[in-house]
Amino acid sequence: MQLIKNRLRIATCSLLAIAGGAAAADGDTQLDAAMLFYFEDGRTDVFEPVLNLKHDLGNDQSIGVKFVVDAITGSSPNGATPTNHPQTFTSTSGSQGEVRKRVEVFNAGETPVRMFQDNRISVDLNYDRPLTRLLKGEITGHISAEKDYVSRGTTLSFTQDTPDRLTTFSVGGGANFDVVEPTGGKPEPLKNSDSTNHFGNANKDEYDGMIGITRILSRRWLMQLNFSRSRDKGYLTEPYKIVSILDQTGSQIYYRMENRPDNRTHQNVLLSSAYEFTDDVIHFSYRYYWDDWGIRSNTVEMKYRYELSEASYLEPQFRYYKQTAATFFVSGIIDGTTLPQFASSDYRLGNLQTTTYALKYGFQLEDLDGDFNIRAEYMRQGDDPHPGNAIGVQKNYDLFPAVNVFIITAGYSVNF
Amino acid sequence: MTVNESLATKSVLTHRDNYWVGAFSAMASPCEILVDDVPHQKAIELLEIAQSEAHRIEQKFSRYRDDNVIHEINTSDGKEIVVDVETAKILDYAEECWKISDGLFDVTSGILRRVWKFDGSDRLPTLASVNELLSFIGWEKVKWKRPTIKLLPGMEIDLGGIGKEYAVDTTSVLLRKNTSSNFVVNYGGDLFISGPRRNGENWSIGIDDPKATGIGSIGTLSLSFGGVATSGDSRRFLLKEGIRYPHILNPKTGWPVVGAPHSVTVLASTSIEAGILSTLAMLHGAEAEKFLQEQEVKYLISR
Repeated sequence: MQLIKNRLRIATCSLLAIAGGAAAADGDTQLDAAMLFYFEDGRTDVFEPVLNLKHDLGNDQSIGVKFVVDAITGSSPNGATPTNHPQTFTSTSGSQGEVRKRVEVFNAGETPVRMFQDNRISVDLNYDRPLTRLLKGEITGHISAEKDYVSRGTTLSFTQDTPDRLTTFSVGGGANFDVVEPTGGKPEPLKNSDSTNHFGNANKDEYDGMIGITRILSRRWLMQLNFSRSRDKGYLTEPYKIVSILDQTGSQIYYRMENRPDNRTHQNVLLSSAYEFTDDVIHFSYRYYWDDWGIRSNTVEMKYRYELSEASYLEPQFRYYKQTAATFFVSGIIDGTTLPQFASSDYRLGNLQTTTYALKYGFQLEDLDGDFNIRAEYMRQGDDPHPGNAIGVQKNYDLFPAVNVFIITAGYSVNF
Repeated sequence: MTVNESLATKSVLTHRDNYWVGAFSAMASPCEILVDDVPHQKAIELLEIAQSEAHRIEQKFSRYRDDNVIHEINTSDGKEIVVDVETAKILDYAEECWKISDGLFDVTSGILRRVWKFDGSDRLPTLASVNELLSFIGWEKVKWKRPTIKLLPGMEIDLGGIGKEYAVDTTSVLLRKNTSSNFVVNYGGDLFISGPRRNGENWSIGIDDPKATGIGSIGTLSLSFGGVATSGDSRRFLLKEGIRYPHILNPKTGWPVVGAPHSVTVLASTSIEAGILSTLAMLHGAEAEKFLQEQEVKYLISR
């Protein structure tokens, strides 16, 4: 017969492992690793490994580092709209003196795209620590680089708990300093794409501020409200995107480089809520976004975590996103009319609806520490194929072919 | 000395012989923490952590409140109640203690206090009234499957037997995370000592004599590590026909354990283990010493 003392010891270790809401028995380093595969039908493939390490320094301080590598290959719409004759584009590619010319022809009615290949690497660092018993501070730094884009940023944020710890106020700010280095230099705005000069790099800065409140409404119910405001300044134009110039019938004649304002102020309000049932948890969130380019968007998202057993769960997710177009979004410009100051045919600035369905399965393995998950996501993006701003023959074509995206993510997290 | 009036209850912090003594009141007991040689600001912070943890546990698990999970369970009237993770861990623990003690430790036995009033008088309850309560006592009648608990209507659970010791241990875990200095957490005589003092010496802990006024002590323990808890009849008993009925009730019979010591103090790895072992020793009555010797733990018994 085992001594009562010994059996008590085992039970007590298990009891006190969660004392004070903290996992004292766990290790002080957490590793999250994930692998993301993104397939956009006929367009883009992305392969993205992510590694996130968080180390507990004791005294509630922690330091984290996150590495992300993206390998992107594929194509994206170049801004030209489908028209009633084939469209031909010549692009140069290659490096180290070996320049290849590539000619792409798109049939009448087809949406022209631009091929690209890029690798992106990004590193994020963060450090957080308590400043008083109820006040916490966090500082982060970020750097990422790809062939034609370098981004550096930093944020500072504070969270203050009320003494009953039921309410948390947060406030934060950040700045991002980006350099856009278009291949061959940045084009002249709204110039004919065949005759534009290219010169130099450009800067783009972003300043953000955020305030939020999180409130525990009951033992099972948590609500969060956040407001953020950002101001982007500098070169906000996409250097490779063009706008179709049309004749009176709406047929394409030539292209001009797009041009966007050099500043943008955008705001976000996010209301989110989590409710815990017996085992299961339901999440709901609503986001409203608006900016001074005329874009308004609404996002609703719902997630339900269904506990299958103590060691596994299933989490279906649904998201619906709808945005209105920027004021300078056009499907083309009629030749001879006065050029607008700003114009873009980038579908991401147009009317847009995205519906996402995802399913995540999380599980633990008996002989291996840590949590595994696998998530499959299907996203359909599109809008009215025959928008009201279509001109002449454009009305005959699908100006907004729906895009289907599949994303598979496999993740693993462990404490050691 | 710092007197902190900003919190719901007062706390007092004093500096003594290279260590800090932070005192406050919680769980109907005097509570204190001793912290070896840290800056004043750190001592204030640790005292606040201890005080808020003690109050958190008191609010969450006290059966005297009507706004917590214990109240929800005890007024569930036979319905299923879903509990949070921490409560689930404690119920798992209570169940394990019930199993390993062969039913002697039972968190459903608290309702016996309805008929047993240990006021020094000779008013014993009737056999019938005790037997009536016994049908509402016994963990085997509880349907507990994490995270759902279901009691028979009329049953109650009372974590009074482990709550204070649990608070000592959870507070100690929190303090350990927030300081590398050693400390003592002492909540009404149940305590945890995290390690020796910086000068290498042990901490001196006075153990209250439950027979006396509470001021004197039956001894001073010199300890460097571990949990300590004392079970006693708290000078509360009934006396009838020359038989002393102490405040220690056997949940299986509903009657006091005659022959139990006045107090049992046990030293174990944590306060909650010391608490369970000292309670079980009391329930072994005249065999308390034998039980503790079998368990190979250090103890102090006052008869």
